[in-house]
Amino acid sequence: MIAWKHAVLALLARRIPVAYRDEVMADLEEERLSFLRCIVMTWRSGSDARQLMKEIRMKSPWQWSDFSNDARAAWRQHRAHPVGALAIIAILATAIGLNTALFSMVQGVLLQPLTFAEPDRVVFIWNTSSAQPRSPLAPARALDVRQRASTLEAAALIGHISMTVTGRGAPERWYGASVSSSFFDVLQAQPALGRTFSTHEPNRDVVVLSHRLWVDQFQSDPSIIGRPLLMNGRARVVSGVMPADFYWPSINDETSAENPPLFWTCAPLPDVPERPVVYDEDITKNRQMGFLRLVARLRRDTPVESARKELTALATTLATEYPETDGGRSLTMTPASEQLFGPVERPLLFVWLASGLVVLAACINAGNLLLVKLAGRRRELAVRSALGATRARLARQLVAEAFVLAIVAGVAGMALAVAALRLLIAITPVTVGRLDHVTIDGGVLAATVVATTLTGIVLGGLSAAALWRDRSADEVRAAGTAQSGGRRLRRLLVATEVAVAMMLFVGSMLFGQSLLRLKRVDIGFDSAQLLTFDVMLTGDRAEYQAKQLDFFNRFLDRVRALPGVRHAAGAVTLPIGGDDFGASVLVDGRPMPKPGDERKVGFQIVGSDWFKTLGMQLRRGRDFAATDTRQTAGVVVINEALAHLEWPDGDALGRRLRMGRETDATPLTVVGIVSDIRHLGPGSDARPEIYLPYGQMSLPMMAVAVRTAGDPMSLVSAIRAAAMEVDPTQPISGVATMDAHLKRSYGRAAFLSELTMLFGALALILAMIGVYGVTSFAVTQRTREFGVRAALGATPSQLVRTVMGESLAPVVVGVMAGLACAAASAQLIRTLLFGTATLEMTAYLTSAATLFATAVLASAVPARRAAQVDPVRALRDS
Amino acid sequence: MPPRSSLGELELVVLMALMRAGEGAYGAAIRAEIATTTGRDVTPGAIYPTLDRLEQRGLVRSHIGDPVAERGGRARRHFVLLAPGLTEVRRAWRQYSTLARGLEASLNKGRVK
Repeated sequence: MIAWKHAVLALLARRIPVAYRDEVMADLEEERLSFLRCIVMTWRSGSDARQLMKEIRMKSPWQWSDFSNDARAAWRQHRAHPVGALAIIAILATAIGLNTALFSMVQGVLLQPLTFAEPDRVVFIWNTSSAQPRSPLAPARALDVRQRASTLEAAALIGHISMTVTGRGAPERWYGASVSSSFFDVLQAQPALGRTFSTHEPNRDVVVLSHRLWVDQFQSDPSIIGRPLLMNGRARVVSGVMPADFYWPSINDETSAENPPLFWTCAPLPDVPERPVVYDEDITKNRQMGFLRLVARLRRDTPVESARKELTALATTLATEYPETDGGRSLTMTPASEQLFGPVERPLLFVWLASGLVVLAACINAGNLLLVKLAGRRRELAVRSALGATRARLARQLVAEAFVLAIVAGVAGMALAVAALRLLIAITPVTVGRLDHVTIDGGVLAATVVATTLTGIVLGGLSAAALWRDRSADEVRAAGTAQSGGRRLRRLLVATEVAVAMMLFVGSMLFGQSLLRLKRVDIGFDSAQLLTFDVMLTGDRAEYQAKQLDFFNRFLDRVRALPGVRHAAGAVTLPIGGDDFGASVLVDGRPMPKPGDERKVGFQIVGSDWFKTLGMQLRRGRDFAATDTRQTAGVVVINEALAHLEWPDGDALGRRLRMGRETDATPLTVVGIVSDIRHLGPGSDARPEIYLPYGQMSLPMMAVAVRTAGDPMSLVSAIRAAAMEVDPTQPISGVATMDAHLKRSYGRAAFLSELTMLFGALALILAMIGVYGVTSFAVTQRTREFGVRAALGATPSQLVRTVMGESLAPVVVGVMAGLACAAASAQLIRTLLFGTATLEMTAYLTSAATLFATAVLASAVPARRAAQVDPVRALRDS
Repeated sequence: MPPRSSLGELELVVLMALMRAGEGAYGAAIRAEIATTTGRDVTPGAIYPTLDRLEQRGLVRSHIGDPVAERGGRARRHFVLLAPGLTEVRRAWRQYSTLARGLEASLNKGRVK
């Protein structure tokens, strides 16, 4: 065609919108029309295209059909490019699922209100001293507090007790609480069935059952009300059943939901709870036997602070009135929420926070992938813009696309949350309460919906914002291979993601190290192949004293005779998993210390062979012998810690000490020194301990340890049978291996370590996807550039280095920022760690190295593609 | 009542012409197909925005082919009908046939000039 004809056509073609100009002119050329026809067709094409674009533009008022069209178009868009969409959905679903599961847990365990009226007014009262921040009160002192504290509207005394239940098949032991008749009134808690105790006519022969006991033992039978139960040989009538959501754990210094009271009995007059051991003396005058917890309701409008002040003043008065017993200690008050949830609050909130970080990383990642996806569609968007779609129209489409992703992810996340919650409950330590009430409830569901919607808005906004930055659609079209404007944003996102992963990784390393150290602690005895259980004798004192030694000796002899038993011995309580009995001792010949300054020791009563059965070492002196009886002089074995504290250079053997402050107490001669054990568990240091022989002091309860040759649990039925043979009314209870007790003591550390490891791994995967996505995208975008470079002589390794250098720059920034953030926030978890410093260098260096190595791997794959670019193809294709 | 079709008249014509022209048809071929079957001379200026809109709605998909000498070295843009597109055409066709039901006698009678 002649040049002037070309010029005419080119001039006419300017009427055609730029988006279609080339295409239309190429078609006309291919059809080889006459020049005249060409002119006519060009002109008409211009008119038609303009007309059509105007019609599309006219259709702008928003309608529902627009929305559903948008949604359908979005759906098709995602189906056409499933990989990116699925990746975004998977990431968002994980985030939503994880967060929903953890939020449900926090909600169920911590945030759900307690089921008694105005729980803010309920407080617990404890003795406090520098040695023990919270310890139980002795009866007389507890009664004094109840009578004299004017800021308390009402108060109830609580004693933990276990009772043997007979007359229902095999005898069983139930753990429960003996409480003042006012207990349920103080809490203002209503029973689900029947009634609780009457404060006007307290009746010690009634019992209120927990919901769990009612379901487990009585198959939820409502006719149980009014029926008698034989507990510790005494008939008690069931008067009520508490509702399932009445959460009442066993109240201790560090409250644990493990082993909660299954029943409440009404304390006998004068309203002081029963003890497992029946004493002849008037217990209400006793100021030394600290076994009572005190729960009270503050008067309305009384701030906790003024009540606390009154208690402190009262403690001072009592200390002057009874300097020997009440001196050296004060009173303290713990609000119910702290008492019941304090120990789990911090770990749980920490875990939730950590999951929040994972969610943050996931959202960043999803946003990043969306931006990458969008950048790949610039041409399409430019065409639509040229077609006449307004910015708002395109933005709406992008928001719709993001919404579709968010909704699908929300549904998938919900399903994931159900599974994740089940897993979470399974690995949560039993010390965490109210786990059985954790479900994904309406509130959590609403929160998820809001989270999903917000994600949709954020993602859509991100896409739309990226679009807005494109000044002219034509410009974009012209620059088909343009450097994208979102590059800096994407790099920032990668750096953030890496920083988050870094924080979680450091956290998981710290917890992992903490758990490892806890497991490596030498507890001082051999926990393997050690079976443990309890035996408790009932009846009054005279009765059991006469028969208990006989019972224990005959029972243990039978157990030792069983095949597969290497050693068996009894003690009053078990180390790790048992009770913690304390006493104070005075060394003969030393000046009397001030009240409260006595040497505090752990207190054990052990039968023969106890040290041998546990695998403890006798360092000096002798073990107890059958000759140590009530008729011979009092003897005591102490541990190395006590020997070292009291007689650092001298010899403890042959020295004498006394328990308590009474100078007329029986002196005990030190006959042996044994190795230390960690009675309170691997997390607490060995403390000074004294051991007394069962032959000289016996209590009706005994914890038995059996060292076995094979699987400890295989001996349980034979041991049960042995107990029945000796006395058919005596059950053995609390059967567990020492390894199981030990494992439970790692519970919290294991929980935190497992969860943070999971979160760290998730964050690492997310960061890897992020680095891979961004590098891969950069390589695709710059294919032409790499082609040119290759053509100009760049070697493949040079290209790889260029690509990796650029994608690793944000990783380095992220690692550095993450290190700084981790170090700064590690203080938050300091109290949750065991034997691990918050600035443990190895944890930080390992995390940094792992993340960096992962990032190198993630960017190496796409970088290799850059090296393999064929210059000829790259230049021709672009 | 059959489900409503959301296709415009020109869109239906273009889609059916694409079906006739077969997989991978490009603009000029579709235009030629319309011309030979209906005698309508639809300009490329009308074809491309329509196809673009159809693609936007996910009814067709396009891909750029190799450069062709007869196009002055430019590449052809090939179109493929997608499943949702076929559904839309079927809907429209069902509407027309429902509309024509009972009118067969008058519609088939005589010759069309």
